Amino acid sequence: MGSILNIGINSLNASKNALSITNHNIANANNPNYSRRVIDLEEITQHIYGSGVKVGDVRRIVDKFASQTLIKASNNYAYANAGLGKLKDLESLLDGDASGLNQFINQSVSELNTLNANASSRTSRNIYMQKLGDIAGQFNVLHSELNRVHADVKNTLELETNTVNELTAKVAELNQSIFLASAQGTGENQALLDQRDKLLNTLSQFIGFRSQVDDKGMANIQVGKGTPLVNGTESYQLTLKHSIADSRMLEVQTKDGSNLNETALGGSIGALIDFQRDIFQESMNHLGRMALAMSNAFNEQNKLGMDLRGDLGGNIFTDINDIALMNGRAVSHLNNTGSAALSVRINEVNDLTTSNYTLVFDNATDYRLIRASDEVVFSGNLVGAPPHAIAVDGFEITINGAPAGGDSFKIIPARDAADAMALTTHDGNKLALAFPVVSDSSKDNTGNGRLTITEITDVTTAAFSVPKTLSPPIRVEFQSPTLYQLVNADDDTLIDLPQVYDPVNGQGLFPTSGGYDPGYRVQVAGDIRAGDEFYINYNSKGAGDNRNGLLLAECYKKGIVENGGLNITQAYTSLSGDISSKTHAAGIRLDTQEAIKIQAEERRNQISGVSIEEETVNIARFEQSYVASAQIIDVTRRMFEIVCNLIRG
Amino acid sequence: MRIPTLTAFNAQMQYMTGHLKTIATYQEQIASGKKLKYTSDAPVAGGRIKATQNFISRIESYSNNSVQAKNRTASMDSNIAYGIQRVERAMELIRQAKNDTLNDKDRQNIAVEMRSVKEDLLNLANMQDSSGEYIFSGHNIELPPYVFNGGRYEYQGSSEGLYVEIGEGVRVLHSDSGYRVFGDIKSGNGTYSIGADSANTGSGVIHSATPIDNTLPSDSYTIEITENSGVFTYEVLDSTGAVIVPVPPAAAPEYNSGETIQFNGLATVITGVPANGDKFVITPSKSQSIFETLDQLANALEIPQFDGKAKADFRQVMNEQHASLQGAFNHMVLLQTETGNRARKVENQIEVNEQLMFDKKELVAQLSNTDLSQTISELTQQLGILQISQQSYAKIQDTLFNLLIR
Repeated sequence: MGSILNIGINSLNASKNALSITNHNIANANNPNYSRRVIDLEEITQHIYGSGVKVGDVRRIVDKFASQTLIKASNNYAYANAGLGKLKDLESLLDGDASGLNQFINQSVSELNTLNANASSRTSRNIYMQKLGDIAGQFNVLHSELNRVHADVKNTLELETNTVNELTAKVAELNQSIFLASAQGTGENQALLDQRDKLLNTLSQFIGFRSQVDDKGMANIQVGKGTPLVNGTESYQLTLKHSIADSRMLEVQTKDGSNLNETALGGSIGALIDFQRDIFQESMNHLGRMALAMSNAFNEQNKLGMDLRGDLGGNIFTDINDIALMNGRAVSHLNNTGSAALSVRINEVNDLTTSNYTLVFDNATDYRLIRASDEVVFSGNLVGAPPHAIAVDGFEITINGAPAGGDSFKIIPARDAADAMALTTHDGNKLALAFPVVSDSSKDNTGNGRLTITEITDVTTAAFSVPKTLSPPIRVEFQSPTLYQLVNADDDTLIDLPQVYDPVNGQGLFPTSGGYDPGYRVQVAGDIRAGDEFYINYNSKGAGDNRNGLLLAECYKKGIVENGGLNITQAYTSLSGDISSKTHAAGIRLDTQEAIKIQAEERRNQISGVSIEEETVNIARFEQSYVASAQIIDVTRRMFEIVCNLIRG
Repeated sequence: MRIPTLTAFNAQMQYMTGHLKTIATYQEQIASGKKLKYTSDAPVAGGRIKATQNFISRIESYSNNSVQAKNRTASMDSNIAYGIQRVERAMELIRQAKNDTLNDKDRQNIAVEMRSVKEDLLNLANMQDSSGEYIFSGHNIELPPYVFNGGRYEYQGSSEGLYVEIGEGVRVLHSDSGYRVFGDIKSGNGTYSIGADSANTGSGVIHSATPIDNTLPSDSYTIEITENSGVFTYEVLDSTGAVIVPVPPAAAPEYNSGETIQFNGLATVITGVPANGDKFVITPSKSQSIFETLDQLANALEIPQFDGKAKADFRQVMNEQHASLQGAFNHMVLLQTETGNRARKVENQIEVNEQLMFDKKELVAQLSNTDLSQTISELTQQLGILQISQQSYAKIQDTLFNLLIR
């Protein structure tokens, strides 16, 4: 009889426990990190008729594989999400109608066209100068905006590395608690496991990691190439530092100072580090290269012309090979021990890439110059005494002093150029719209020949050595319709032997058959008679001369980057277009990662999530067994009563 | 398959968020009228829009210049037409002056008008546009092209014209070289100038020297008349003083008034009665401004004709400068044609620019503007789907739990 009572009590207890587990499940139905619990009932078999039921185990339903898939998926999703966020920042910066560079460029083209129809107008000159200043200003703005985006990256990275450190510290703490709880066999264990899973899930949003649970039930976490973040009850901190190779770049480092940047960190931290390495630096360089190309094209063209005061033109924008700029293009590694000082000169803007370079000395003379974009190595060795020169991709590195083995330098030919771009003058009169040379013909000519100055090629020749003078002015004397000589008009000396004239196709005067080249080109055409004379002089009164102005307008149209493949507006469109297509692609990638993450969540939830329907059925089930168990006790009580009554008789 | 409660709710949430996102996109497209918010929404179309917008702005940048070029060409056209009118008047005056019945006073009156024609043409050459630029100074737009200095008309402009761009790679003349328009006109018949030596005493007059063989080199020649007892003969000397007619051993050919004299690829005629030792010169034509031509005509008209020599001198100048003026007339008619062509070129370019802008703006509109009817119908459809989705959500909220409790 006692055994029946026991069965009833066991069963009542088991049902009550099962009901409370069910209630616990229902209570946590909306807790996304909760793993549902299942109660295992076990038969008590003390003798042949059975002794009832007991709670065998309360299991946490988890699937290790599903959890890890979810962690990986959250990690990938966070990586894609953070990357897209930064790309969107860049796109709205570069692609916006208000902030884009092209509207400034287009406005200046328009002003230049107007100016070319009215080259003597001071107002028009100043307006155009102002438009050029606006372009330089916009380059500066875009440069500092890119830096601002990078500063945001830094702030986010700081916050996130701190969060990672907090999370790993908590995981280490939990490892300790879980170890203790399982040793004591208390039921807290399962809630702690849920908590730890939750922490790992959160951690995966910031950084990619591998985790293993050891035989003590402790989760060990490694990042990168096996760098431990949590080892048992110990956690190791990450720090954000400026790179010693280039203080402008940020590095995620371990406590011992090793750099984790290149280890595919994953998560939002990895996304930001990759953004910094690839897109940020490339955009900076792209923008800088445009600034170099535009400054160079306009400076060089302006130098070939003559300004409103009759002087040869100078730089409109900052000289691209200003000493300070050249020295700023090589960043010395902080651990360098040699005495080498580097400067980088831009020789051919058209050949520049958007990559940075690293110059590494294997010993005092052998070097390797590595292009970061494709890791192509240019190697060589320094011969003889300094200065040494290394020229690749449109720039030339000059090395003074002696490098030591192991020294390295980061070469950044274009990175800061957009910041350095500025007008050298605001004086519109300094725009060299005219050609410094004019031609004229004698009034006594009997032929109908004409001279045209077609091009100014070089104003550093002796011909332009004296201000506002052509040295020498030249007289072209035709001895016959097919023969002419060039005479120095100052002292009547011959410049070269008589030259042959081609009356059918016309004739370029320079360089002469004897190689004389004054730095400008003159075309003669027409039917010329013996005795005809032409004169080439300095242009002393060409206020309205726009011949160089028309060539300045050509500077907007001709290809000035990528080996002449892109003009200035195309270069900008290629930068903003590149960011836009990357943003587009990143958007698609994010959608994919989101779908994968949702699938992983569903899979995890299918296994571990609470279904209220299921639990409702369980309530009904356990309620019934509870009521039935109570009935058993009641029956036992009545059996007992019957027996007692018999005894009482 | 187990569908945990959270998953069911999450899935519903996702569906509805998805619908709402699409609806928001359509709403934005309708409200802004633009299909794309960022280029990254559709990089290829976005890139084309950007490139086309740049192109439009490039074409627009020529609009000022082409309007100015149109006005400039129109005013040059009317200026040159006026110039031609004045030159025609001068030629009319020459025809009048050649009439032998006129007296010195008549000729002086003609001279006065001749000078006023010159003044008109000079004013024309020194014409300024509304912003004070000289339009016939080439590059030197701040200097008047022609100044009278030391008895000569000096051209101060540049020998090259000033060009402006009015379309992609299309340049038109903006300010012409005055030397080309008024100054660089070959004197005489364009090949040779003729003249009589000032020491001549006879009434002989030389007429236009026509080239008949262009392959021979041109030179200056002097025809010297010798009279020997009523018989006139002539010799021709080249610029070095060498006798080229007669060629020894031939004797000097006889001179007869009106008879063709031919040598070294040219032919000329001398009329009248020259005196012994009179000389006539033939020189290759040189540039002579139209002002000089008119001045020389006026000067000749002002000299009283009291004897045969004076008459001969007068006729000599008339012969030469009438030809020069004819040359100037032809030159200006040619320029008028050129200006007409330029006006047409400008006109065409303006049309091309406008057509290009129209087409490209159309293209941008097609690529970027929202197709309202389509978007609105899609929006309506999407709203319908959202509604159904919400209703089904309401239904699944009725869980078994609720059913059992009721």
